[in-house]
Amino acid sequence: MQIGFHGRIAAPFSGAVNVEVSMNGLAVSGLRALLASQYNVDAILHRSVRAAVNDEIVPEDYVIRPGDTVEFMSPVSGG
Amino acid sequence: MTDEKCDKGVHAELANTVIDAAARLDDLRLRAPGHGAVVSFQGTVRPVTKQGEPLEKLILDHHPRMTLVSLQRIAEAGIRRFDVSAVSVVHRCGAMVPGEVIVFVGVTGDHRREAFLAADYLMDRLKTEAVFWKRELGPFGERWIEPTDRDRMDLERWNEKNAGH
Repeated sequence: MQIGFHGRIAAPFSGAVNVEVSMNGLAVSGLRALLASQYNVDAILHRSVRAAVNDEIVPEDYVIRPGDTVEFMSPVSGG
Repeated sequence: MTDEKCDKGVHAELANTVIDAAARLDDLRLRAPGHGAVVSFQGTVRPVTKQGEPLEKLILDHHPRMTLVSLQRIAEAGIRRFDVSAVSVVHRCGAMVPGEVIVFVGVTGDHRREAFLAADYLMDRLKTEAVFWKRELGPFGERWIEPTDRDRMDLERWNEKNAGH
């Protein structure tokens, strides 16, 4: 599954990365921990970086399934 | 206010090229003719940063879907909250140079005060809630920009009891 990133958090991941998610799914908090470990980016653990699944902001216990569109985004700047 | 009024009265757009504010104002007037008040605002790229340094470029990164949805929701909130007939929100994305229009907001209605208030409200929400990630480029390098305390205070005004009325 491809994970997208927006804002300041995008740079350390070069915009997107691929992660394997089993059919059992993976909670947002687990995905953060996985990304922090695999890419050595602690900033992904900060709660100000929000997770969006299928274009909706989701809580930390939301379980991501294969086929979901998953993105992390830094706080928006506004227009 | 009916959903039909909201559907017909709201225009929200993400523009990746120069915004012609005069043409957008004409569009709005054609779309909602016969109203006594037409208020418009355009925000432009400043030539200097808040720190006083020369600005070469302003870059607004956007989300491929959520950004336009955020513009639409803000525009709909404006027309629902105020007694106005049409709202137009056109926002740039991508790289801009000083002087270019970042955002155009237009409002029509029967009364000027409601139209002014709606435009003010729309801008306060756009400045803090529109889904953009903003960077500025100049001799200092590249810097991310986040909403300021002033922006947040401007938005808070609308949460006060009877705000704007």
